[in-house]
Amino acid sequence: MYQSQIICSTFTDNYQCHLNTCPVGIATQDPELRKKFTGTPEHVINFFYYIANELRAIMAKLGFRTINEMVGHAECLRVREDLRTPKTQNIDLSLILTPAHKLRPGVATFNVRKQDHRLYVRLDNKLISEAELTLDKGLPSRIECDIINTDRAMGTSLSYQVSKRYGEEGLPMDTVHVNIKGSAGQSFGAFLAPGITLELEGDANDYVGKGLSGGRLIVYPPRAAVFKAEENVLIGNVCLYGATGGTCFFRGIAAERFAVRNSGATAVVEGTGDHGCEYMTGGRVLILGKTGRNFAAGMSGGIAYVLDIQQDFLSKLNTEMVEASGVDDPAEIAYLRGLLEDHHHYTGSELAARILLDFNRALPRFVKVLPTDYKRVLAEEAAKAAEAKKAEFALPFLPGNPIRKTLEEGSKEKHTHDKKKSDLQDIEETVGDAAVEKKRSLVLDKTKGFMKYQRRSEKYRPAKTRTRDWAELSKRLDEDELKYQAARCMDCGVPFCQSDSGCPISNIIPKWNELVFQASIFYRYHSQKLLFTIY
Amino acid sequence: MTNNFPEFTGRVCPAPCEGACVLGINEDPVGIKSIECAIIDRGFDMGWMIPQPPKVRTGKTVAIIGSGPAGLACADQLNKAGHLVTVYERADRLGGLLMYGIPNMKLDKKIVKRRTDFMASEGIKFQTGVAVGEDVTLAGLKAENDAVVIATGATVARDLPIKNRSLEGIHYAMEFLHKNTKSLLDSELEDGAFISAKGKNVVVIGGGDTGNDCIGTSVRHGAKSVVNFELLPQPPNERARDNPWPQWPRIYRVDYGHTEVKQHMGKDPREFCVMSEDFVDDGTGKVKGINTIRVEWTKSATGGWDMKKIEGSQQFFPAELVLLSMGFLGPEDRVLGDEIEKDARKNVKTPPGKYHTNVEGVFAAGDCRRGQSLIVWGINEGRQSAREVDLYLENSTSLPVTGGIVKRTIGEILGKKPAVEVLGRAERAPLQAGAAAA
Repeated sequence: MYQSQIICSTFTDNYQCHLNTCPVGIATQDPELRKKFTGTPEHVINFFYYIANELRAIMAKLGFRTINEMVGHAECLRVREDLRTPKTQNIDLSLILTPAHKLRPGVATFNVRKQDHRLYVRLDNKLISEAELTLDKGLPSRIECDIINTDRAMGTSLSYQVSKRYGEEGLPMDTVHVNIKGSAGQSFGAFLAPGITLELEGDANDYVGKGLSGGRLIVYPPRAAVFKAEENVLIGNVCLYGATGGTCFFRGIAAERFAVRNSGATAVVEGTGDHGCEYMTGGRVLILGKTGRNFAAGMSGGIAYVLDIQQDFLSKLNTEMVEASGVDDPAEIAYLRGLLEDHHHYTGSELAARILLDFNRALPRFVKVLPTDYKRVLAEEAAKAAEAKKAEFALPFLPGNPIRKTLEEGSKEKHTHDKKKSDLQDIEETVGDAAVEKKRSLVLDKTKGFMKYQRRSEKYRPAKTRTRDWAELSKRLDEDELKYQAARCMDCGVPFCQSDSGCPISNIIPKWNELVFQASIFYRYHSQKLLFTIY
Repeated sequence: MTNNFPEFTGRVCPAPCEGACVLGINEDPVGIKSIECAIIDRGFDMGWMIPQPPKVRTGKTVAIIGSGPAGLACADQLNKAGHLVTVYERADRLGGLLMYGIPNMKLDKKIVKRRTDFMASEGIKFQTGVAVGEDVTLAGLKAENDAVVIATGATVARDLPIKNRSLEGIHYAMEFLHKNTKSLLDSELEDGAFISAKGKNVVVIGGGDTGNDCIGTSVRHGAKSVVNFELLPQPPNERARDNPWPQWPRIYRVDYGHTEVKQHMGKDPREFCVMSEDFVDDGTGKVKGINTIRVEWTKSATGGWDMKKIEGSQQFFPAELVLLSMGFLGPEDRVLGDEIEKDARKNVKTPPGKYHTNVEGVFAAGDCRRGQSLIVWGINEGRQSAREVDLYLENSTSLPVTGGIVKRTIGEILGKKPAVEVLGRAERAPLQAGAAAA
């Protein structure tokens, strides 16, 4: 329904959403692009009126006055026998199309009673009532309870109560400490607010720590268990999905997609399944054992540290956006050691104890997985911090000091250079100064070209003189002009220029725009490729 | 490989691609035409375009009637597939409307010649000055060749049969343009074998691209005044509500001819909502002017448009030369004869999505099948009919459909006819609408 609303307000399905170049200003926050959005609420209202109208027409044909009369009456549906193909020949839908009231006369066919969600029997209610002091006064509470796997989203409602009263900041660490025994249901500790600690002795299902927002999760197998914790799966798939902050310590192996879309939480786990740290954008993850394949797919932020004892981790790492290295920085090493010690302290992990015993031997086996984009961001931030630090203590230079002169000239150059750069984008101004133009290499923006550059068609000869002869009206654009025009092409994911309403011969237009932009027109080697697109 | 003649479309195509450009939703569209033309011109200038006759010949022969964009595209594709192609053209130069319909300033004839020479060096045979239906017959061609493709175009012009139509000085636009370009190429207009607009008041009836070409040509002759009648109202400056993107925008455009008249004579030549009532004799059998009346267009209750004459709005326009450029109706009967079946619109009848006529081995392509249309559609038609001819002759083809994609059905690969025809999207549309209605 939502999609159809977008469509009725000028949506064009371009597949450029991820580039922030939405040509109709829908998938963007950029105010320049947003100006292009021409939809109005009236369009949506209109759209719904049309839907209601058409729906009434169809219902009238079927003999129904209200929607409730219609719902559940599958006897009004018929299979389209004329559209049968060899593949659908044997499909028999008669059982699906049998209405419920045929099997059980008198049963309701549409919603007649609200669903009772039985919210009052949730386990979280126990937590909330026992944490009354915390919620009212912020005093610490300790709660004990048992859990079974039908108790889902444990701790979420409590987190709601905490954030309702204490906002995003929440409570100081460990204000509410819950000791839980058993096998947790899905979404254990989902959206846990700061100040709440859930300590689970047992195991958990999928989505542990989903949307973790500052709380702490500690999970370890039963103390009486005889199996090796670091060799068994403790928590389910997709843990820490979209976590934004907080810490968790898992004494066991996580299943697939651990820390997917993590954007700020810190986690220690003793092994993961496939696709670990997928699409991670922040936070820190420490994995003390084997990972599955395709680790760090789409990981663009955060750092993962993997203890690679078997030396086979690099074959499982997806290096498209990350690089692997050793851990050298003393601050980082100290941080890792701190995490290990916390992990041992909270979960009693034997594996952590063993590593800590001989930490220096284990250190070379740590692999640091750092996304290249994140590396750049960290370096920029470090540079900015260093600059700020320097600026704090800058003493002014007195006039006459030669250093002062060089600094002043440097800042002046920077201003003119910036001004020249912005001029370059206005093609009208470049036309005059051809020689200087040739010297500067044209650095154009292909992604945002459509916002920066104007269209320029082939210029016709002046009307006064061209009528004296029969020669052609226009000349082709030159090299630079062509590059500007090719830069305007947005290379849409769905190119309408080649579609039914565009070129009848479906010329491969985005491709030749791309090649012309790269100046392939002017080099024989590439020209074959280019000519091949049209000819 | 999508376009056989980028130098033609890059110059004279109205660019439906630019009309559908996503950037064109709220900005100016990308300059696709200028880029295309620059690419191919560069290719020719730098000598990168080298004729490549096919290495293997199939030994089959195909005759193509008409050397316009459809005929030439068809010839080019079939030649690439290895067949021996002969193109028959009734005029003395190749190109059809590309040569004699579009004036030189829009599309230089050297460019057309360059292309047809290129095609000739790739092994295509051309025969000019041969009119099928007079010098040779369709039956004769069918007997001599393995396949025949009719690409004669839609050349029957729409007439204006009002009073005094037979006066001297009233000509079809095509006659005017054809003679002009021929005389220009033969003798730089020295031989006088053309209809001159010099010193005359010219009225061009019909406001399309042909009308524009007439205007441009008249200005270059040195006409005294040029007026262009258009029956429909002036289009809006921006897309109308019922003309959304990505349809072709029906907006007010100022073309080269209009600019030239504005420059030389002071105002844009177009008169909208004008209906011609009758021609006026000057006493010696020549036309002196046209009596016109303004009309009004209103939307009827059923959504159609009603035309109403506005009383008291009669106007006389002086005219010693009247050019009729009101569009084309269909192909001439001379070639088609009685054998080839025509559809309700008088175009050659072919099944939807197919190019073969009711006569085995005879195919049709271009305007004669679609009705008057654009060059780029002609090229598409030529290419698709060539594909079908190749399929017919060889039972399998590597010639592509649109977009350069080679489509092969299971039937072709296994050499059998499939039980269910897999049609493309455009061809499926009418069938689906029918089934939904059922």
